[in-house]
Amino acid sequence: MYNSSNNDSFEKDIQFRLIILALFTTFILVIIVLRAGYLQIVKNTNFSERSQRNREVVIRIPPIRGRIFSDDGSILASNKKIYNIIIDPNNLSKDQIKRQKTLLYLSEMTDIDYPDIEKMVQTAKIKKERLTIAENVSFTNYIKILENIDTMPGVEPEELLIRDYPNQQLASHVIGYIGPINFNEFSKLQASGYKKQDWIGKIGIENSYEKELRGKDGFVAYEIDAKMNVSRNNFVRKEAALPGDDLLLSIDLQFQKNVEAILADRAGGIVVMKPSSGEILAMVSYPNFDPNIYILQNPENYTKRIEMSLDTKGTPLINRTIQSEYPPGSTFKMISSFIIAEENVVPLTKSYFCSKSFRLNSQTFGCWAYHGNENFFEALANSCDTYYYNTSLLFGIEKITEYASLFGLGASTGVDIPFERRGFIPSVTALKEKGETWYLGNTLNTVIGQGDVTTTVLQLADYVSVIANRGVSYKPHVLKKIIDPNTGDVKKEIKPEILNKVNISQDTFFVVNQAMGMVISQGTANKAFYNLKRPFAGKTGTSEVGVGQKKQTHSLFVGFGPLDIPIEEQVVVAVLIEFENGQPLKYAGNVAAMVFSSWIHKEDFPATAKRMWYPVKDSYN
Amino acid sequence: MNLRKIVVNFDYTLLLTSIILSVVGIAFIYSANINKNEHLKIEYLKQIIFALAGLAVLISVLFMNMRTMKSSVEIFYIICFIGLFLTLFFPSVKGQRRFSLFGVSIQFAEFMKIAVTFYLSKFYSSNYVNIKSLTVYLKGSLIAFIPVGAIMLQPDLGSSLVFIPIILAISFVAGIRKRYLLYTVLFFFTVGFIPIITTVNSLFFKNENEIIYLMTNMKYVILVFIFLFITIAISILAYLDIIKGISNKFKLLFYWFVFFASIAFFGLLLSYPVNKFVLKGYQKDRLLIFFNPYSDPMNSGYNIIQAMTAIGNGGFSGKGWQKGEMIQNLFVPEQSTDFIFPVIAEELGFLGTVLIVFLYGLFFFRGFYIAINCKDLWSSCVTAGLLSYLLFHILQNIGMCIGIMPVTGIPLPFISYGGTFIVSCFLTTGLLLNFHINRFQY
Repeated sequence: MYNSSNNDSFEKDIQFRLIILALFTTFILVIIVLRAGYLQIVKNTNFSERSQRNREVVIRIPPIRGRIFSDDGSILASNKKIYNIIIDPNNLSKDQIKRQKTLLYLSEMTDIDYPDIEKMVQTAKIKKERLTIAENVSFTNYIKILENIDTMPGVEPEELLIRDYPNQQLASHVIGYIGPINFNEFSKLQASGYKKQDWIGKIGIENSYEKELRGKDGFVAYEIDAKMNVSRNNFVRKEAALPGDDLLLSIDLQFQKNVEAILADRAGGIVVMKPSSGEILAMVSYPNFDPNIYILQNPENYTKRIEMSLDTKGTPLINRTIQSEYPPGSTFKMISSFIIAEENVVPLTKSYFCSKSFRLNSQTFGCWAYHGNENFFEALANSCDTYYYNTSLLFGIEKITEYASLFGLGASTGVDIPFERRGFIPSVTALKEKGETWYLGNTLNTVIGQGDVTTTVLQLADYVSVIANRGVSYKPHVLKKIIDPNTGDVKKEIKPEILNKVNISQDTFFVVNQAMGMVISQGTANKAFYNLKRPFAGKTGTSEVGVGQKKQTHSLFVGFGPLDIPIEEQVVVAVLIEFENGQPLKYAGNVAAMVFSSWIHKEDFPATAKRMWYPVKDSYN
Repeated sequence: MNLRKIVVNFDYTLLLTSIILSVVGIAFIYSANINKNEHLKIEYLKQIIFALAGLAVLISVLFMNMRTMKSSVEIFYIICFIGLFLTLFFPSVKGQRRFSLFGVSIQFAEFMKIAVTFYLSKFYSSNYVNIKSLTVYLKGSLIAFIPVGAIMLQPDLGSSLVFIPIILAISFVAGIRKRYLLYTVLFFFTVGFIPIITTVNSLFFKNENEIIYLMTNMKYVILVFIFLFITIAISILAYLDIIKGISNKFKLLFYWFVFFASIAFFGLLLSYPVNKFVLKGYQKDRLLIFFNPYSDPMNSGYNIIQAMTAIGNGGFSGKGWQKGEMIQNLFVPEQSTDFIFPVIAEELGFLGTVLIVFLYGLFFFRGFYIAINCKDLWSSCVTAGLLSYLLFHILQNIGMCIGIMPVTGIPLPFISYGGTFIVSCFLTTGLLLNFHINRFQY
């Protein structure tokens, strides 16, 4: 074919080009192998995971939430099985007569009018949702519907575990409630495995021990093919859900009940605490609420929930013992007593004359009564403001700020119930930051627990615990033990933890305690405690809110005892009753005395009321 | 005597390799279909019959006299062309016309590839003296691209793309000037330029890239074309000495300017209508998912994502024959035809990939050995063309499965299910063997 002259070179050229082509081919094949190797070896784990995700449909098994018990073992919160009836609008019978029969039957069983059911089905069909036609059907009705379920396509039974609070309002602020997770919570907790349909503790113990109560998700994974056919019979992987831990609270259910009965329908809060450990025995706040209304999502509960959140006057969702700040009033005077005794401001025997008013420059500061000559002890026992006005001019505001913070006022107690408020102790620096100047008048207001001073009831209880323990208080807590739900073993026991340690001489504690004892034995609370006939220490208080015509008063009492038994058995009681306004039935001293009585004698409200000669009424408002 | 020659000069490796490949193919067609309906389950049996038919074709090709074949190649070409032309009058099935008479459908495009290979090689070898001239290349291109046009009208973009590597390989081996080939390659890329940049624009810049926006804006495009046209015209005038007084060095510059600017000019000129009229929505989607399969994972990206997942899931040693997790749960579509590679890659793993590539490598090694040992330009060109035809199929098919090529419906040689295709693969092998047997003769 080729010319003989350049045949060889021509042939060589062709061969050279063919070799280049062969090298190019090799290059392509090598690229293919490298790329395939990259996918199959380097990226193998990624693709296996994705392949598994493709091939599996994972059904989540939600864990059973831990239960909450009171100290005596009664159930405060548990889980209850309910029966729901669900309609899948798309699977309902196409035959009109059959469909109508089904809906009529359901209407009969669930007491919903047939036209309403028809309407609900229509809306659900448009929204492409499954319709829960009846929540919490009675067991007998449920069984009846189950028997006929085969003749009613599109109707499905559902058994659900829901949260149940058997004692309704009782200790509702302590226990709290759970609800569907909201957007903010979800975005925070998504990383720890929460799903959009999860429920979560909203307030109270349910919120603060969410982690312990929740448990761990389980799942079953079934294999599916590309057409989404699921083989339900043989699962690929399975992991059982771990139920949440049970919680044992230090709340004494019977005592809590009694205290709630004692507080009755007075707006206010009571904390009963063991000063020797910080365990809260009863924590009552009124108005309260029924946590069960947050569980079932039916219209009736919805209305109730709206009512709850709209009740801005009663604010039933506010825990008045930790979430409301009140001026402590005269219960704050122990701070000054400590300063006087510890710093030797004046001799304890020195008296000041009270003429029901005290003039400072051009201002008049009143005392609540005409007291005459009052010394250290008498002043506290009779709660004489004039004595404290006089002495406070000697020791000044800085000391008050210092001592109040020593006793943990103005700082959170760290109680294991969320959303606690801190209160406020005024100081010169704080006022300066606001751009105002401190006047001596402010000191006089502060020393009697008025002005800017605010505390929570729990802070007062903690502050009195320091006095009861003579120098130390333990962190208040309602949780006593965390219990493994399967074995019943105690996983964790809460040990007393020192919260405030006050470096004040025992002599000082002795005299202040003596003065507080005089409050009960001969002072302002004498009448209230008269029938108890046991030694106590305490302090009454009346705090004023508002000015002029709108001026109202809260009634307070803090105290501990009985003093004739060891400190381990004594209790601290802090009572606040809102808007007492001088009504004798709302006087906190009486309420506190009955709480003590109920604790000492382990008796319920009517019995204690009888012992205390206290009127039993339907309403104390 | 003829038989003795065949036995003595036979390339057993090549034949064995192709048979092993088709056996592997049959095994995995079987595996891919075990969970499917009765109609698909017997695909492997059909494939065995097709393979046997292919072998018969191969054997009969061995006895063919290539000289006669060479002299009558124009007739073969014309028959195929008429077939292609007639195909245009058949109704389109699934958007593609098919020639079918009495239930037997023939894909003339498949045979046209061989016809073009033969005819182009013959054309070059009879013009080997003037092989460096542009006219030869242009005439050769005409031979190749007329049928390509007919195939594009079917429309079958995938099949027509196969012609490009065939033409390039034959022209390269025949000794066409490399700049012409470069011109062709660049030209085709330029034609694809506008579809690609619009895809890139929508994918990576959310249609907000200003430069790309200008490029697709009619006003500016016309300006660019006018600019290109004027500069090209001036350059040509200067190069042809109509504008006088330009040194030779500058002339060279003008030459290369015309070279590249005309690619841009004609390529872009074609690119806009191609983008607008030729490429269909699904083809643009394929470009899109080539750049990012996850842009549309449930629709156009589904195939490629599932195929890649299956391949990656195979790991080093695979899940075992008939045990592919993705495959047997039918996540990968078209498992026996276009996506047969993922079946092998998942069930045999990386070892399977290496095995397949090794077998192809062996095939090409023997193939190029035959091409190098050919005694005339025609045979060398034909073998090179046939080999590049197979190579392109392999690159395109495996490439799309592993995400280095866009998705086109091109089957894998010897392995994919499909009657015409496996027969034509064996025909190719037969031709290679024939050249080998007669290597001392022509």
